[in-house]
This record gives sequence, C-alpha cells and structure tokens, in this order.
Amino acid sequence: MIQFPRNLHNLHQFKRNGQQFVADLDAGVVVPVTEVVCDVLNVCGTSETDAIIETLADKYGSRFKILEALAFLTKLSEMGILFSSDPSDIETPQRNERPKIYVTPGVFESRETTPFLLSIANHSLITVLAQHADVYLALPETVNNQEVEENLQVQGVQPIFFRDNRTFSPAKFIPKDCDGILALTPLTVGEQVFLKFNTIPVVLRLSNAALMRHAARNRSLERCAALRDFDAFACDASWTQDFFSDFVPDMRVFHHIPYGVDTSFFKPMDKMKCKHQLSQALGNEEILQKPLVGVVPGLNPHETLRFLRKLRSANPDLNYLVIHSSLMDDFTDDGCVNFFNIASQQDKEASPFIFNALDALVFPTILGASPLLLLEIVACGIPTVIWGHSVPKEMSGACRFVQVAPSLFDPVQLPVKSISQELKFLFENPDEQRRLGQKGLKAVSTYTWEAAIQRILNLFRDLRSRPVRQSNPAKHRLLFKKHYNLVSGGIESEALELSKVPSLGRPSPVDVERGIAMTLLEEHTPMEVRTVLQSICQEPERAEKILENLI
Amino acid sequence: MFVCPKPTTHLHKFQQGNRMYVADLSQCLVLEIDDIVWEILDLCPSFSSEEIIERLGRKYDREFVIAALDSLATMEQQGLLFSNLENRSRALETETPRKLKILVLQRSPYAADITLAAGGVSVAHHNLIKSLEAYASLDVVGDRDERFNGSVQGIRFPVNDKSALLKLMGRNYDGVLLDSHLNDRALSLLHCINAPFVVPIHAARGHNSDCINTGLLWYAAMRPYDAFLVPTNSVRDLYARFVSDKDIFHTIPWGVDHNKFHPLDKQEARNEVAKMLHAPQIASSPVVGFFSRFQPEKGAGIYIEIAKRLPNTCFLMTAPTLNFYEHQQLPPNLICAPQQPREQLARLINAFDVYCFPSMVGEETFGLALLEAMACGIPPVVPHLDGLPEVVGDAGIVVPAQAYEDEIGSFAGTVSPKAMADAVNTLLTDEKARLALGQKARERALTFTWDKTAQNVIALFRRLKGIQQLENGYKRHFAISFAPYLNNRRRQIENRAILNNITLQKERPLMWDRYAQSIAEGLSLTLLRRHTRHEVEAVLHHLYGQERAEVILEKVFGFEEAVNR
Repeated sequence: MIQFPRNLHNLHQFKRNGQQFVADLDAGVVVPVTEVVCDVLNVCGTSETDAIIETLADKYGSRFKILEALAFLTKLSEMGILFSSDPSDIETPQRNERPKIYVTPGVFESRETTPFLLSIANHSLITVLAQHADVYLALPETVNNQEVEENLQVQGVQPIFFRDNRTFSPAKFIPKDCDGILALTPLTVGEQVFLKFNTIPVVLRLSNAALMRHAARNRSLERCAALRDFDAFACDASWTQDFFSDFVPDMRVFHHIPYGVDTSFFKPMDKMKCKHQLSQALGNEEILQKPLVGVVPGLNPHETLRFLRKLRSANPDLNYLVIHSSLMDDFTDDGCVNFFNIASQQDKEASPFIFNALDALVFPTILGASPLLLLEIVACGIPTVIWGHSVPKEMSGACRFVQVAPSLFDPVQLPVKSISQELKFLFENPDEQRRLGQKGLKAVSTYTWEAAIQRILNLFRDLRSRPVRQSNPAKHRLLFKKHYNLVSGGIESEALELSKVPSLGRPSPVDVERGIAMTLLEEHTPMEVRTVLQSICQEPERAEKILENLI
Repeated sequence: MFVCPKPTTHLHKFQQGNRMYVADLSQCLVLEIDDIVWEILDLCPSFSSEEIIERLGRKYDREFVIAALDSLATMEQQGLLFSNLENRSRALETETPRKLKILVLQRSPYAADITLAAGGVSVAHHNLIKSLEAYASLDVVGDRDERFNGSVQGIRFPVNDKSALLKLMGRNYDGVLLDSHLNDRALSLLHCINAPFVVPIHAARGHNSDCINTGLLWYAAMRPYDAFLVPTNSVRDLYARFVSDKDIFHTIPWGVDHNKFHPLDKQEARNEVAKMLHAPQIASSPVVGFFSRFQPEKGAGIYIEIAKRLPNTCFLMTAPTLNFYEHQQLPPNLICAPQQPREQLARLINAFDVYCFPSMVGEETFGLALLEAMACGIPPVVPHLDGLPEVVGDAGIVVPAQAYEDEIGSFAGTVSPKAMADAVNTLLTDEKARLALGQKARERALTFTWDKTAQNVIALFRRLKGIQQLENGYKRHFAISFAPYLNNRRRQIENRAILNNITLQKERPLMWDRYAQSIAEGLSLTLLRRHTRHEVEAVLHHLYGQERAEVILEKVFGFEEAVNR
C-alpha cells in the first residue's frame, strides 16, 4: 500500500456538478474521485498512512472505505498518476528539543511474564527518561485509573489508557510527531502494529535475563527479523548479541545499553556486620565460618541444582549463596548452600546488605543471566569470577574469566573445574581479591541511569536520521506463472516482470526464488526474506547470492 | 480556423500559482493554457469566432487572438478539448438499465476483413461481437476512434496513454471480452479495470507451445471472477494437465450463420461451381470437399492420399495457396479452387457430397468450417482429434486417430489415410445413409447459433459479476513474519513463519496472538496479498512439486476462505 505523507504540490482539486475531480498537472490528467479519496488527499500531504486510516475511519465508521480509497490511490500511483514526484522530498517537521517518546511496558501481555527485577529496572528507566523527554505510557485500563494517572503525572509521565485490546490501535494514541517508540517488554502483536503500520523508529529493549527460556529466545529472533532499517535492539547485556551473530546479517541493529546502578544504595559496607545479619536472617551459623560465594546461575532450576552440587563437591571449603528470583528453596539438604530470593521490593531493599556479605561472585555470561545483578553486586566491591562466552565490556580486566563455547541450546556446558580453580586462586590471593573489587567499583561507577537514558536518546536521534525505506509501489508487477516445456512435456514455473501500465515491452522472466525475494522485500525485512530463501533454496549459497543481489 | 460557438460544459478552467490550466473532464486530461485561450474559452459558448476576435482584439493583438484560435483548431483535430462532441453527448446519455456494458478489446479493427473465407477465428470473433450487440452495450477498443452502429462505440486506445486508460477505468464496465488469449498486451489492463475478463482460447496448442504458454500466462493473472471461454471441452481437458483450477474454463460452443449456410439445390450448386471452375466433372461425379490451409498439419497430404485411393471421385479443395504442393504431382481427380469470397462459400459447400477434414493440427479447438458444412447438410468425416468430435457428435463419421500427449511439429496426432478413405467411401457408396447423415448434420448444426452463443456469453458475464460482487470488499490478510527458530529438542536451527493475529485492517479475528507455521504456508498466505491463487499455485508447484503443492493449496485456500467469511 502507498505510504504517506507525500508531496502534493502539483495537484489541483475541484468540484463539477457534484462530482469531485483531481487534476495532476505533471501527468496532465484529470481523475474523477470519490468523497473518501478527496478526504484522503486533503490530509495525505502531512499524515502517515496509518494515521489517515484511523482518523478517517472514525468519520466513515469503517476502515474498509478508507482502505478502498487507498487502494485506488495506490493503483493510480503505480500508473504514475498523482504521486509521481519523489516521496522523499517531504519537509521534515521541526523537531523539538525535548523528544516525545512512546513507551510500552506491556500492552497485550500480562506483567507476569516480566521478571520482577526488570519491572523495577524499567520503572527507574521510565522515570529518569521522563526528566529528559515527554513520555507517553500505554497502560491497560484498570479500576484505579485516576490514582495511577496521578502517580505517573507526578513523575512527568503521561499515561494512555485503552479499553479493549482487541481493537487497540496505537495510531490513535501515539502523538503525531512522536520521535520514537520504546518497547520495554516483548509484545509481539503490538510490535507488529508499530513495525508494520508506522515509520516511527522503534527501540526494542532486549533483556538478557528474560532469555533463559527458549520461547523467549525464539521470540527475540522473531522480533529481530521484524526490525526495519531504522529500528534497533537495545540489549542490557553486552554478550547477548554474540549469541545472535549467526542469524542476524546486520549486527548493527544491536546496541548495548546497560541499566544504571544506584551507587548510593549499592556500595561497599561493613562486611562482617552484613555477614552477621545474613547469618541471622537465614538461621545459618556456618556462613560465618567459611568464605561466602555468591552464585548467579542464569540456568534452568534443575540445571542450577546440578551446577551447585558439582561446584560444592569440587570446592567444599566454601559456602554458597544462590541469588535468584525464580528458584524454589529446595536445596536445604546442604547447609553450605543458601538461597536469596529477589522477588519483591522488600528483598530488593535487603539486597545491598546481602551482596556485601559475599566474598566473591560467580557470574555466567550466558543467555538468562541478569546483567543488572552483576553490576549491583560489583558495585558493592565484590571480586568476580565470570564464566561464559565473553567478558562483559564493562568488566574487562576487572574479573577472573573462564571461557566456554557459546550455545543457544540447553544444557549449557558447565566448566565447574575451572571455576573452582579460579575460586581457589582468589581465596589464596587476598591482594587479587582486593584489586578486582577496586577495579570493579571503578568500572560500574560509569553506569548511571542518566548515562543509560542519554544512550537511549542518542540512539533514537541516530535512528531518526536514517532514511525511511518507503515501500514504494514498484513500477513492475511480478507474475508467477507456469510454463509448458514442449521439449520435456513438463510444467515449469517462472516469474515475469510485467509492466503495470499497458505497454509494448516484452516482460522479462525471473527465477521463481528471486521473484519471491523481490515480492517479499516490498513488505518484509531482509532478515525475513533471508529466512524464507534459506528454506526454499536447495543450496544456502544461492539464498545469500539472491539477497546480496537485491539489496 | 476554430469555429465557434461551441459548448464548454465538459471543460474546467483553473489557476495554480500563476499558471492557467484547462481540464477536459470527458477525456481525463489537463492542458496548460495562456490568458488569451482562457478568455476565448469564456466566450466560446456564446459567440462566433469573428465576434471573439472582435472582442478580444481590443485587449490583445489581433494576430495573437487568431493564432490562439488556430491552436484550438489544431487541438480539436488532434482529438483534444473539442473532439467528438457528438460521441460524447451520446456517451453521457443514460444507458438502458439491465443491459450489460461490455468492453471488447481487440488488436484488429472492428470491421476486420472477413469477406475472404480464411481464418475461422476472426470470423468467429466478428460473429460473436455482432450477436452480442443485441444483449449488451459494447465499447470496442481498437486502433481507431470509430462509430459502427447504434450500440457499438469505438474507442481509440493508444498504448501508454494515461488519460485514455483513466477513461476506460471510469466507464464502469460489467465485463471485458478479448478477441483471443494471444492478445497478452491486454494483460496489464487486468490490473486497472475492475471487471470480469473473459478470455477466449481459440488455438489451444501450437506455435511451439506459445498458445499454451500464453494461456498459462493469462491463467496466472486471472482472478476468481475471470474466465477462459473455450468452444469445446477438449481445450479444458488439455489444460487440465497443467493447472489445478479447472473451473475457470467455460465451454460455450460457437455458432453458425444459418442465413448464409443452408442447403441449396445440390445439382444447381454443382453446375454453377463446375462452370465457375471450368471443371465439368464436378457436375457429374461425386464430390468430396475440403477447405482449409493446404498444409500437411491441416491434413492436405492425407487428403491427396484419399484422392489417390478413390480415383473415380472428384476431390474439390479450396485454399488461399497450394503451398509446396504446387510443385508436386497431384492426382488428376483433385481440383484446386482458389480462395472464394465468403459470399460464395455456401454455394461451393453445397456442391459437396461429403466434407472431409483430416486436420491433425493442434489448433482445431472447434472447426468452424466443419460446422458450416454441416449447416449445409453435408455429412462430415473427421479424425478423432481436438475439438472436432465434439462438433460432429453423432452427425458424421469420426475416424479413430492416434492422439499425442505432446505435439510434434504442431501435429496433435495422426490419422490413417486408409481409415479416412474407407469412411469417405462408405458414405459415397451408400446414398441413403449419406443423405440421412446429411440431414442429421443439418439438424445438429441448427442447434449451434450465434445468438445462443451470445446469450451464453452474457449469462457467463452475469455469473462472473455475481462472483466478483461476492469477492469484493477487503480480504483479511494477516501480518505474517518469518524468523529462524531454535529447536532445542533437536538442537538445530530451523526456519518458520509466524501468523500474527492482526490483519492489515488491524482486526484480531483469532483467539491467540500468534501461530507458528511452515514457511510454505506462510509464504503462500503472504503472496496471496498481492498475487492470485493461480500464481501461488505456480510457486508451490515449483518449490514442492505437484503433489505437495496441491495439499498446501487446499489448506491455505481453505483457511483464507474460512477467515474471510
């Protein structure tokens, strides 16, 4: 479908005997048009297609009439009538200093799928963002709307309530001159709406902790495939993108934007005092007798248990504290392994004291581990042993590192022996402990909420400056047809490039696979087309070749 | 000089910036004009040219006013602004209700030269259009702007003329009829004109499979409310090998002009023909007739062979040229008549005792000449190939033939000369049987009339229009995405399509948010947005082979129909 806004300066509309006409002075033709088409023409110089549909649908009571008018205009445009001028020369409206950002914390999906940690992190993100931008927050309508509204407005956030998510149409709510959409939690259907019906840049927040489950990994791949040239992923962990490098042809869509750490809250404290508090809280005296190692597992529950059993038997001189937000406390047969559950606000408030009771941290850079936890614990001056695919950018030189091959599939290879060696080394060298703790402190000090927001705003600025690839109706239309081969007596298929207006030119034949790619590229992203080509081409090289040729 | 006064109700003047334009609403075009022309157009409905020169001469240089009037005259000659006022006023008259408005697209001019007896196809098309006039108002688009008679309006349609195309688009036709499927130039009009297209297939195969492939080209582009018009079921059966959708073929037999082709006094006809051709034996011996192109594939060789086998019979053939047979020794009982004017044909045919048409070319979808002979009460002998048996029915002798799966050298099959000769001989020797069969042929031919053909074509257009009305309105198209998929159980990466429960109209008709699917299904649903079902059929056939394609098609079309109800 034709994409608006378009330049209209060479059109002239008039009415004769009750019939509306529009004259195209470039093409030298007059077209009789309906009232709906006129209404579209009146606004299409400034409005986006989606907004046109939504606003006029209210007037006419149905989208179909508007779509019909748009289809008519599309047809004319294909014939080189009305919109023959270059679509790119629309004047871009003057941008305000203070950007307008539309935030979706969860439009169609329940909050249950969002881990608690992310909820509070996103809350910080939104409130700090509101200091620098006009924030519009989409929220499902609840009973205490007014209360929510008042609370949010105190923080400078404008809530947008919607009633029935079955007919939810963001175009009605998104401010016309919106600078960007920030999608904080995966919302597949909502994202489809943003990505298919708008030209507003979308930044999808990709949380590494949420990728523990396979469904979430697959959903991320789907989201990634849907991204347009002017959209981006904002990963909270620097290692997330390494896992996707095999699938994503253009890694530039990934941007590492870590969360901020509240260093007035997470800071080194009196270790012994904290250990005592923890020992009391857990009713476990042993904590005071051996060094305490914090473990962030980032694994499935049964995998975590397997990992800890192995770690414990490889290194029995240590106590372990598993820091997690979803595991059940069912490892109680071992006094050396304790659990700390970060699942509520209360637990979160206790976190700095618990983290300060640790002597070391074992942290995996795999899919499913929360980078926010890493930063918060390191901010308490705890030395870290990192295992996984890579060293997080922010921690380079500030941790011990055990490398394992990256794997998208479970179970992950667990390097228990190396980890326990690193732990042993650490506890035999108190200087190294201190050095790593200090370096870590210095590393995380740059990760403030302020910095995170500036990165997000810069990203939006960058995305806005990229050209919007208009899905312009092509001059040629592809026709997939069968072909009878007289020599073999068999039927083959081919695609023909037909001219959309009558002409004497002979159509030129194209391979079916190439034809499919050409057709799909009009509405789908290169990554989606790549997925299809890989499935339908016998040889993978051919898929790459076709795509390379077309883009 | 431009003659005034002239009406300007179809014109609209306007200014844009400091430029002046005039729009011709009935021709759908806009021209830039200067201030003198602007004022002339103001005056021209009520003043004569002289008065205009007089009035404007006060304000402008007289020479300029005259030059402007001259330029208007030139435009009028070129068909701009003031052309065809008469036609236009006619076109604006209210159409009689219920009569379908049909656009006829053809390459050749309407009044094609069909006075000569060659080319059944052009004869058939001409007759069909003529008989359609009674039931529909026709616009014939050809290369000239001509007016034929009361109900047929000729429209000039130059290629690449946008305003002409807009004019066609604005006329709201109930249907479009082509002269033949080989007119693939009209294919792009399918995209612009929102009416059922009926595309006749006259030559099913032939021309190095060009006919089949042009047929397949149209097939790919055709929508559920378009149809192929075929004169016999043989065409549909041939295409059934290549395509899944057989319902697109509608069999409507051609007719014959019974005023022209009817039995005459046989002896009188023979005497006249004998005299005309200076061949007295025609008047005295039995005559076996043949008229067609004289070529091997049309059965010329077989015909010569039959003549050799029956030396006491007169074989009368008429063809535009003898082709390479000219340099061959032809049997003495074979008489070659030059091509006859169509008016003379009935008399010539009436001189025959048997009509022998041993054509083996893969183009005999019907055999109009055969029906013309039958209308004159001449019993035919034909091979069992293509559409011929369907026309003959039981009113003639159909000789078993060897039909080929794929043609060779444009032969759709072959027939034995002996078998043909035997059949001809049977009829020649048994006068009673011959006359009875002749009578039967005449009776059968009477059931084929052009009026009936026209009525059937009109009924077809009405049916297609009904289908189109059901089809119209927007189809629900779901947003489909494609993405790699991590299969943890198999520890491998797969590809799949996701059907998101949101349509392009932003409805959410289904229960869940998203549904995983195979690439094949996702691709088919995606292609259906802009491509026809037949195109999806071609794609799936290529990617997955005929058998799997049929399964996927059934599934995908079923889903599409179910969600659109």
